Amino acid sequence: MSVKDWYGGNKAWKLSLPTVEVAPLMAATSGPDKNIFKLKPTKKKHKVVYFTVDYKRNALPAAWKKVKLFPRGNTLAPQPASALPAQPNSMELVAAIGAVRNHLNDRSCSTERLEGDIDVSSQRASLTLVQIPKAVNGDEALLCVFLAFDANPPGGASNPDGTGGGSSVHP
Amino acid sequence: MHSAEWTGKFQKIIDDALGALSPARRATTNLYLDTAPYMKGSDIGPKFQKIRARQRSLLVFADEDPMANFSHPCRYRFYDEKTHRFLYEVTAQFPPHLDFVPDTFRVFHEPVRPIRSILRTPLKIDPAPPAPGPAPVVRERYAILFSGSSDRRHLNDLEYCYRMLTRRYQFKPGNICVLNFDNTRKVKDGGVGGFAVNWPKDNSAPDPFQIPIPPPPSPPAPPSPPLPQPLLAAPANRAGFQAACQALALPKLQPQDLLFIYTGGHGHALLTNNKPSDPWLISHDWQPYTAPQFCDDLATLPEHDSLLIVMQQCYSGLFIDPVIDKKGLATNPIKAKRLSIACASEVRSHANPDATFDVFALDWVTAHLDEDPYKNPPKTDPDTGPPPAGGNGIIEASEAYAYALSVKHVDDKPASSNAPAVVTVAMGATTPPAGDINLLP
Repeated sequence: MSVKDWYGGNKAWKLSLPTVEVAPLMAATSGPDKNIFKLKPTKKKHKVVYFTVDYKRNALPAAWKKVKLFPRGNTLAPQPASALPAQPNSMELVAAIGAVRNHLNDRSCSTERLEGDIDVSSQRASLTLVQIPKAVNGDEALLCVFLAFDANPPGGASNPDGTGGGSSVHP
Repeated sequence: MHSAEWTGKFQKIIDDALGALSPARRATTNLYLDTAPYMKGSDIGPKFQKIRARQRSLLVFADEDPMANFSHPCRYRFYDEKTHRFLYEVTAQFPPHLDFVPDTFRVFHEPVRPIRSILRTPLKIDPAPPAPGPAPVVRERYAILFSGSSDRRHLNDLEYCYRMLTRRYQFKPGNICVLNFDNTRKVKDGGVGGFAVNWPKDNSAPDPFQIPIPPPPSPPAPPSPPLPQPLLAAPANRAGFQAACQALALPKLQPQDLLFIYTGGHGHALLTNNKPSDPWLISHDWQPYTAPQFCDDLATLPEHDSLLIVMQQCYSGLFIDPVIDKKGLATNPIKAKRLSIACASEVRSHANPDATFDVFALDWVTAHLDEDPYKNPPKTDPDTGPPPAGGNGIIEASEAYAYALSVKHVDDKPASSNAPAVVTVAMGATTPPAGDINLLP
């Protein structure tokens, strides 16, 4: 996989799994363009430095407007243990994303991914996107979205899950 | 805590001192009794108060603002040493003892208690006094302790729970299944070489873990007593929980037995119509262990009397309906005669300020003990359920939940349920209450 697999042509991504962590980053209402976005590269000397998130008006919350996603890593994340069907249910997606999350525990530096920061409900989170090519029905890629928050924000004592939601893609 | 003998001996004084307080005052005034008599003319408290005993007498000290530093308003009540008759009362500004408190000076009414302070371990837990009345049936008690994706506080919660079971309630270690992370003491947030080696912190007073989770292979764990053999020690995921259920299968779990289940670590949920739904426990390998799967696994257990479930993870409150519903199913139900479930939160659950424990788990367990790991007693007396349960020396699950609810983290949203819905505890009852883990086999 190369950085070119994140963009180009009609390649668009769709957020489809509203976990409690990721739901604030999704449009509240449904519609044909909702939660669909493209990644727009910013290049320097013909190399992608970072991506911005491009989407139709109100297709995603405004928090995405300021996001810059930097490509990192050079090894693929693992395929799901069992192939995902064309229309995976929520728990099948959660399990596939969990396998990637478990992989990141030990290989968070080398795994191919996009990284950036985003504000989630007024709280700064680090955002990680991981792509699993041909994971859905043997042809579509699976996009895994991970959020991580500070473990103990000042005055908080929050108990963040450090997990994310996921989404499937329409190349 | 005083013996019945001590209380009985000074009952007249206790009754008089309590009777002298209005109901409102009674809720805010601590009362102490000094059973060593004061001689006529002896000073009470600091000399500059100029308060002296008018005759040989016993003293009740009434502290009207226990959380305030001295000086503040308080009263001395004097009683005849022999007849225990009330003599007179004097207002004061200081307690009778400032530097040294003799053993004869004891509190007998303490509605106001200080909150927990600094961490001082090791924690000492004494066995619970025998439950009043004879145990109605001989029953065994089993437990499953589960924490999937463990941070340090989750392992600490599990250890605290284990100590409550084995020390306070004398559960047999061989009746307990321990499912923590990948069956090591690895923690995601620190530790020594990534492993927890001392409870509850690696830099707190030496207090080796007692829960039978294999110690870290490297670096070598500090010397500690050999760990007891559990019924099962396994990684915390669905397969581990199913193995625990298998280990409990007949001939272990019998119709008169109790099973206690604690789950902690992290939990997650979907957001449907702006409400959390479809919760799951996060296993050590980040695989979801969903509420329906959890219920299906509980349904594999043989018939048993009492199932007591405590859940700490985020969104654990969303497990309640599926579990209760599963118990009521006509086919493949959870086969517990009585079920009690208490959960930390229907939304996110939270840690205490220094992230050493989770608030709900810490308080639910503390309700059963004389003091918490910070050496502070429960902030209020948890043994206050409706009559006849309250004040009987048994901390029933609903009382532990009520206590944890009363001192909850501001952002936690605890929930609980019982099936059958009404659970009562009666002194000398012939059937054990649903959530009572105190009765010895």
